[in-house]
Amino acid sequence: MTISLSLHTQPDVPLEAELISPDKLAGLTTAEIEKQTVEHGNQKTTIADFFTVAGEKSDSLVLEGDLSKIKHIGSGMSFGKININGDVGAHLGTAMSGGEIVVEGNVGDWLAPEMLAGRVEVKGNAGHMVGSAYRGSPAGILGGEIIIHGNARNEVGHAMRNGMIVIGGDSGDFTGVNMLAGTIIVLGELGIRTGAGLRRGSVVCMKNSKLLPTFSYSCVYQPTYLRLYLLYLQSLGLGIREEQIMGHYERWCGDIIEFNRGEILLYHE
Amino acid sequence: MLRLNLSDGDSVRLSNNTGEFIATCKSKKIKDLPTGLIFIAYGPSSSRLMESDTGGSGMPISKNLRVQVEKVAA
Amino acid sequence: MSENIKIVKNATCTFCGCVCDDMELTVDLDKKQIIKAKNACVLGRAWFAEHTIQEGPVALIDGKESKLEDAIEEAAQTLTKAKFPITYGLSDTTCEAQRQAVAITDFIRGTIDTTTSVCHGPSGLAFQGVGESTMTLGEVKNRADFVMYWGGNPAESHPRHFTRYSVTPKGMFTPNGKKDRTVVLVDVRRTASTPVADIFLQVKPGKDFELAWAMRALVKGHTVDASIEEETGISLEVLTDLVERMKNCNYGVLFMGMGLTMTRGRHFNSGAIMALATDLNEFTHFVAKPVRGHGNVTGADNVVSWQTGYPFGVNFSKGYPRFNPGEFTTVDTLSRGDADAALIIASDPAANFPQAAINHLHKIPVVSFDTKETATSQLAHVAFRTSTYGINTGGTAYRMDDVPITLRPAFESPFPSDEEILTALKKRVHELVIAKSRSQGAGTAKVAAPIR
Repeated sequence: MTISLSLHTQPDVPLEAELISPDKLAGLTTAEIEKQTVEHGNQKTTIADFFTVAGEKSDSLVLEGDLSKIKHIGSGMSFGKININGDVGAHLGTAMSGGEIVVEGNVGDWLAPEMLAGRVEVKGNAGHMVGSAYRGSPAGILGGEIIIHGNARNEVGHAMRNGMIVIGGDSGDFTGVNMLAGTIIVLGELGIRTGAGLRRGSVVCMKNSKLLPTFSYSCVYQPTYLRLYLLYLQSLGLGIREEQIMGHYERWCGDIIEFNRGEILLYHE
Repeated sequence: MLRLNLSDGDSVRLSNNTGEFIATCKSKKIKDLPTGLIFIAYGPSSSRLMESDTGGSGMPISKNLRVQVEKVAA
Repeated sequence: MSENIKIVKNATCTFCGCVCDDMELTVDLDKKQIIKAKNACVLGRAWFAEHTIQEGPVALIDGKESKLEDAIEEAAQTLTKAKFPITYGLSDTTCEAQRQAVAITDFIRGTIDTTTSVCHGPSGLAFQGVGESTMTLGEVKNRADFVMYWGGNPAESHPRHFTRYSVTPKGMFTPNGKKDRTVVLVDVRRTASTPVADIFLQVKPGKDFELAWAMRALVKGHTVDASIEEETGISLEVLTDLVERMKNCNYGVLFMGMGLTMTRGRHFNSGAIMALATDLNEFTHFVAKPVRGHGNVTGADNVVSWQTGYPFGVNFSKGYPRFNPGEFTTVDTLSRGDADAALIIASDPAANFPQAAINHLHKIPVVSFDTKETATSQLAHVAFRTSTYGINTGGTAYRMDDVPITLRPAFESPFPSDEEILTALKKRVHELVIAKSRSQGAGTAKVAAPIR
């Protein structure tokens, strides 16, 4: 049994729907869900004004339609599952601490910022600030995993502290900027200025990239731990080649301005 | 400008993925403005070439834009 | 020349962020114009000469002349009906008017943003991320013996910045003026400012961050590869020498221009400069400061900050302020098509925003406040004509170093000030908001008491 919400009216200004999360809806009946308030700009409206609701009392939500103007879905969720068949707007899964979100389409900016635990998988592309810290906040995601099959834009994993972010396509500028720890794996191209201010943690990329002057080359080696990660990603259907799993990687350490304890691994053909 | 066979007063079309506009050339010494750089004033003309994406900062990239230059008949 | 001449001493020029307060204006009261502005720079003279009184209606609704009261009513109705109204501009008006605009935005649960977001907004973000060691320009004048401008052309944008504060003035610890200072300029091209510099670094376009980052590494005593020259266009020797000079100066200043914030990297570029200043404080006293553009854009930051807690890009739709540049900043709310009404005060986004944002401005009702006809007032649903701050109206403006300065108006204008109309608009908006919440049956709805 699932709760299904399908969009029947496109909002004309952004709709804020923190409420669409298993934590809030799991115990409710269909009629109760319909009456829940969501914020349409500065007006309070109900879920029924925009969605057709079916099903009740379930921790599994299925959302249908182009939700690109709908923000904050799954904010703070701690259990259950949200499946989104379509595009979705900003702040998906903000500070989530458990459960899973799967998006078939693209997502907007700020995907799962400051998440604690849980899992987000996006089949399309993501916007800026994937798994990042909010402005003025010292740390980004503390754990969990974010898998994006397509491309992501700037500031992937800004100040992340733990957890894993995987980008199947290309990433934008400042990937892993001010990163404290954790792992970012990019299968496509990196943008510029990767790992600026990197303290600890790893950024792995399968393509060569020009790094900042504050990163120094240390060696070429075969990181054992990476095989586990790559095998897992292969099982998810991301395009990992056999030679990459057993491959050699150039290790660059930095950022020398910080502790020089972080690493950027570039696949060595 | 020599490279593109342009002289002062010629009209050029500046274009990128966002838009285009037509400007009039004025030359500068290579020491002052290095090869490959064009200077235009900020305003209605630069708006046409600016992408609206702000990368989560509120600021569109308004300088250092990559453009294609073509000569157009005046 | 008429007989009715007035001299205004210590008047303030509100054209750029220097907010020079040593003007001596000669005003012809009959013609209502400033005929001479002593001490003003070329831009200041133009600013004072341009602002004469042009006849015209005080308010227009859809381009038709209307009474002020009707226009205020129409503007109030438009704004209170909107679900996602935005307020933008505010940099060329007094702090008193800015304060009214914040109150209006709060009542209508809108989003307030200032021209900071397309100026030094990224520096504001960087400041939150890395901190800022700051100063006032008086300190620069009296103490600074190392001055660096990065990505700016003050000779043309802030002509008196050099002479009044940072390069030539003689101060307490800089008795010989320019001779006591090392002036460094970083830019991608030679400009009118270049001749002033003792050292000019012509950085390759878009390589500011790499350069600043390499300098940070050098300051911290790490080695940097010689390939930096190929990367940034500046040789390692020059950089090493520069860093030594920076470490050995007594008081260093880094001024940041918009060459940093408007290019790829944005807040990280200015963040790198601020972090460089922080690093240098290990050795000597070093500060970093953005060189702000419009007259009172610093005031806009200050007013919005002390009223809402955040400097720009603040949203009130939930009834409390939330800050998120990139989401609530005007370029984004317009180009994504989020906004459904706009209140634009003393700014002309229709002339300098990305095209997608301008296109959306054409689709929504706009209420504009301006001293003259602009691209924005032409597309506005309700357009108010107001008097010019610093010339016709008094009040407070902030200099770029966050020092508030009182304005001394030169002559009266037949048009009301921004503050007067905004106060009236605020009153009407407040009435409408209360009436609306009562009619919805929420008798106890919490609406903040009007700010007096």
